[in-house]
Amino acid sequence: MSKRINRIIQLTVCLIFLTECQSSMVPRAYMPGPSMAGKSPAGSWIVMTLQQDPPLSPTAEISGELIAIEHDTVYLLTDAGFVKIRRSNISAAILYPFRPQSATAPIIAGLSLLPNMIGAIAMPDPGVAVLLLGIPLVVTATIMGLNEHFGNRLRYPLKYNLNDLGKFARFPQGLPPGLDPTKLRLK
Amino acid sequence: MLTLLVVLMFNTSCATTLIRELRRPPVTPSDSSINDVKVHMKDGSLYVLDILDMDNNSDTAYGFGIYYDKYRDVIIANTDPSGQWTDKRFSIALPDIALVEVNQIKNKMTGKITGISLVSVATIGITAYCLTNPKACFGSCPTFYSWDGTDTTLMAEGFSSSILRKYEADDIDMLYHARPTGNTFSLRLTNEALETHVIRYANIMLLPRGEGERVFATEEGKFFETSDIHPPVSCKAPEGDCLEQLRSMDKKERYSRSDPHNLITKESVELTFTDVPEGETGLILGCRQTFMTTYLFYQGLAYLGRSAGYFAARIESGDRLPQRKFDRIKDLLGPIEVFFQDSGGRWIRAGEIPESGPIASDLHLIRLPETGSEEVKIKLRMTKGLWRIDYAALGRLGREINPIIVEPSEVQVKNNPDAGAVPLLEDQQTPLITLPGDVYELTYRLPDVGDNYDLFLKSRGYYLEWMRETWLEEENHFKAAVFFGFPGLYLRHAGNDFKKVENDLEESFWNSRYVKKN
Repeated sequence: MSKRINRIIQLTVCLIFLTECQSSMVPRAYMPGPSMAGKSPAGSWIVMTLQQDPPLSPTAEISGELIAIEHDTVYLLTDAGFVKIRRSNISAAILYPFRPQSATAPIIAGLSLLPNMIGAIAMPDPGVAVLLLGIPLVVTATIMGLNEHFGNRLRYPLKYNLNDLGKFARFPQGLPPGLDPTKLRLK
Repeated sequence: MLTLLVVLMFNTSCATTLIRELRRPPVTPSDSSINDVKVHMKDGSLYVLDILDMDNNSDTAYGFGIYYDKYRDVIIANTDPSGQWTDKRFSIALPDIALVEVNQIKNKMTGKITGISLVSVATIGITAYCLTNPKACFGSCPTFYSWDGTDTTLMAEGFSSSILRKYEADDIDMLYHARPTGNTFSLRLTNEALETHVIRYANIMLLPRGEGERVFATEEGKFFETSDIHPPVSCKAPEGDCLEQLRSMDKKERYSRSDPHNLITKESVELTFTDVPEGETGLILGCRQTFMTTYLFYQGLAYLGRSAGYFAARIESGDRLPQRKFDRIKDLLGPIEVFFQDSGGRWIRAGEIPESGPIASDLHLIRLPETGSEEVKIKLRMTKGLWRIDYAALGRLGREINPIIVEPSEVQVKNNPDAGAVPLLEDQQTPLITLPGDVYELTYRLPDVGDNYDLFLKSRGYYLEWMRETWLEEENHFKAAVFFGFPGLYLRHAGNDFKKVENDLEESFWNSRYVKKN
């Protein structure tokens, strides 16, 4: 096998493990597949970077389920409980609506290539067929995997405003009247 | 190459994206239904619905799904996990709705996965029969075997039309010859093709019946007790008398050869029934397709060659244009149309049988109106060379009955001792994925309803064909353009090519089954 093909396959394998890095930051219950994300009764997971009086105070990071965003306050449900954050203190945020799909394409490509690889070993002259089909398959899967790795995030302020992220809150309409925050539970 | 990869890393426009839209009522400009919505109420409670019906003349919307309180505890659900309605619909007052949430997934990964999977090429495991007749390679969906009292025989093929996830649909097949022993029923599920099968569920539907009766299903999925079942007294086909082939469900089939000048030429078979019972009756037909559909499907893939995956991904991503082109071929080939003759001698259309699948015959019930006559003539109109009819009968329809659904209590891998835990086919989001040569044993614990009942298999899923290397040699985008762009024209001129293989297709197909040797 040539060095170049070897390198591409190594990259594909790496992508499979990259997913695990991202998903370990977010509780598994908040990482549904894309088709289930629209059916979850909870809000999406969000990681916020806070800064109070820049540039004097250090930044802090807080993560939890997005409960609601109102015109001056963001509400999160964290491990420590219900938290209110002033919008003006939020310098950045990343929201994760679903599980990244970055491993899927490389895994499928790998499985799909199995017949080719076995056939190449079995046949006396694998010829160009394995290379012609194998390389495009691996490259395609690698590129798709890389795209998917970053595609499942909504970033503020890079690409979205806070109101866009508010659509993924448990209460996109705002906090309902009479809500007892002590009764809220993470998934 | 590295630069390209780096650039693409930061370009997420091709990535899977969830687009969420929030709307205030009225949600749609006219009366309509929306699937898969969340209704956020002003008091913080939430409806997660499979379907929401809007009537803009009323202050109420209706839906089926799950209702949560503001703390996201389930208050009530009126559907079961398979999506079947189990209770009356929710009535939701429009003034109490805060927002309706609708989600759309763009660039869904499954389309791209389909694209990759379709380009998998099997370079080994191809039998000699497959090599000599590449369009006859065994294919078309999962196969189910069971005990018929004498042997373990092929009983059903699941979701033959579901060649992509986009075409995923429920499939109901009668297990006509099944003979359960005691209260345990087993089905052997096999993947004998060069395909990937994705099976969401495979449930048994049990229908108790009276002595001397059978239960049959209509195309709409309704089940009727049927009695006084008797075969026709005459069967006239273009080739002559066909009565012997249709008397019983015994694999002796009536079929014809295709028209070499036009593959979509139609033919008719006329049946005559006497001693027609009073009341509502139904025509029972046992049939399957010939391998013409399989041949054409594989030929289409062959012409597309390495682009097959690309077009499959476009269909999966919701592009209606290629999907319409693909569906057009199926429309031209057509179903079996069923006509009855009224008292004035006119032929009136009673229904049709569209079910695809060349592997296992299935039984279909077409309801007929009361004619008040002791004799009824039926005409079956179909594409020449496309259908194999095993059985025809007329029966008196009794009451409509509902099936008892039995899920598998056990799913065992039969030929891979190293396999890990296997999905129980309980959760549609965790399907069973099978590869060529896989064999599973599904066990069902049947309720005690006595000795008289009929069994049906209800399955759902889809499958992906593996491109055969021999097909890739036929890659020809001009022919693909004719095949998909002008299917009528193609089918009028494809007869000669098809005739070269038609006589051997059946034998080649069955002999090319992919079976793992232990």
